[in-house]
Amino acid sequence: MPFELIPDAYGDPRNAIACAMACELAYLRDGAEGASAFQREFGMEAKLISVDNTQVYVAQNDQHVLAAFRGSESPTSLDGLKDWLLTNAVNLLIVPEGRIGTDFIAAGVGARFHKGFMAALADVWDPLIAVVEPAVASGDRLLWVTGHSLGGALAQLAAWRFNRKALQVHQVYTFGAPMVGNKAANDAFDKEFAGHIFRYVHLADLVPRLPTISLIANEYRHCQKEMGVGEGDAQACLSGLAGKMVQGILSASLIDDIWSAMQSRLSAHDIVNYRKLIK
Amino acid sequence: MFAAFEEYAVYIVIAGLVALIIGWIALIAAAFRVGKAWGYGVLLMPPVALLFIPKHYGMARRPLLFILWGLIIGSLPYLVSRLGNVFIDLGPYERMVEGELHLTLTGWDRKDYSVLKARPGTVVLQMANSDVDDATLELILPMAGLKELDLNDTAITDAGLAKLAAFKNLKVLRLRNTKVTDAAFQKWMASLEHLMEVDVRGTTIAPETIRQWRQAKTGRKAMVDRPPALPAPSTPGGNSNQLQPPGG
Repeated sequence: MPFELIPDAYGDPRNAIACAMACELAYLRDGAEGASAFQREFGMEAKLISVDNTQVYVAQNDQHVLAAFRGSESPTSLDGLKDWLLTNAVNLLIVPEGRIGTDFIAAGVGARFHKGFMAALADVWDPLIAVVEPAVASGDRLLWVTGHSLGGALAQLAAWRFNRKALQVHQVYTFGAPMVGNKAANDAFDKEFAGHIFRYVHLADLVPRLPTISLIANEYRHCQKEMGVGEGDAQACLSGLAGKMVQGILSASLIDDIWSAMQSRLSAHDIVNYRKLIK
Repeated sequence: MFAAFEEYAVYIVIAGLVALIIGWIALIAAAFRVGKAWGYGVLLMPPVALLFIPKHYGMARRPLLFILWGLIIGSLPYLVSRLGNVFIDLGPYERMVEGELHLTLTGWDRKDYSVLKARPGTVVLQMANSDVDDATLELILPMAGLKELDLNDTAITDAGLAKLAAFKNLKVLRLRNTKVTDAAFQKWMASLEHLMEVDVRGTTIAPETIRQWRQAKTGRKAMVDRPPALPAPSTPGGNSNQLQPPGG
């Protein structure tokens, strides 16, 4: 088995590489193909859960349960992600209504989360927990959560909700993930997952600098702990674009500018590239 | 509301700029009415306006008002987006979820927990604040239907845990980073038959106690301290999953 998870190694490159591989496999749309790939690469039995546009593989063996979230886009195109990160309507910071709202407002009454990501997690939650809960319970297996891009955002939010359901998350690895909430939300994540979340960010990748409504005052924040890979300066690129703004508000043409800068750095966001750069 | 604001902000900024420009032109016109020298001065060297306004305030008053309104209106969107967080209400967060009252006080900006007394029907209560102590728990005693209680990071002790033994419907209890002891957990939690989930990370409650508690009823779950993080090995050589660096 080429890839395995090492329980007592936190933020270990071997675990990061294994999780990056799982994220790569999560892009396989055909559940049967994905299941055989997880069997081949990890020796784990995997099941695809797919609701609307949100997909997650839950893989398990005697020791581990691994939830790997797929991004909204295929690894070679990003079009699906554009709306997620730069459209006002889904970019709002909110607390959803219902039980999911109670689980997330537990982060603090000032915590707010990305509306679109929250909706995607809500879509997939019931079938997801129906698989994860019995899998973790039988034999007290360790729960790992991972995801690339949009999948990384969902992985982080799912990890929070698993913990609120007393399904203790062992470690979280995200790759090129955008931001999911405001400062109060991320302070709570830092407290909850200190030493258990590892957020891999390619320094030239723009996605981790998003979402944003206005480049002047962005309320989105990241949680700890950032693990830098590669070379480049995504912040300088965004700051350069901010200089083009007249009103501070993202105009349609500025959104296109950000997006073409993003696409010129497609390789920096690619999950395969992330996996190869982890050392 | 903020989505609409973002959408219209650009028009508000433009309106502000228009008022500013009208005010400025009117000011130049006023200066010309007073005298050509003032007019050319303000037109060609704007700082001259700082002299003109106090000296001929009667003439400059109305243009000045336009300019000030322009500045205020134009900067409004910036102020609102900068102060966005201020508009988040940091008071009690309460919602009816499937007919149950869920109340969250975690991270609020108040000190007076007497709001709890007014909500005896609370089913889910989240108040993971460091100023919550054993005395605070007196206020929740009327909540007979309480099913979930989040006391993570609070100052409660064994005396508080003893009070919780009265909540026979309690299903979920979070005690992370509190001073409750192993002995008190054994003594008081055994009587809570419906208790299914506990968070005891950062407490001195023994793993064995939690193991026994879980064994007493099928389906019980616990959040416990995991072994501390080990330093990552510097040379992960010999592992088949170590990939070649790019181009290597």
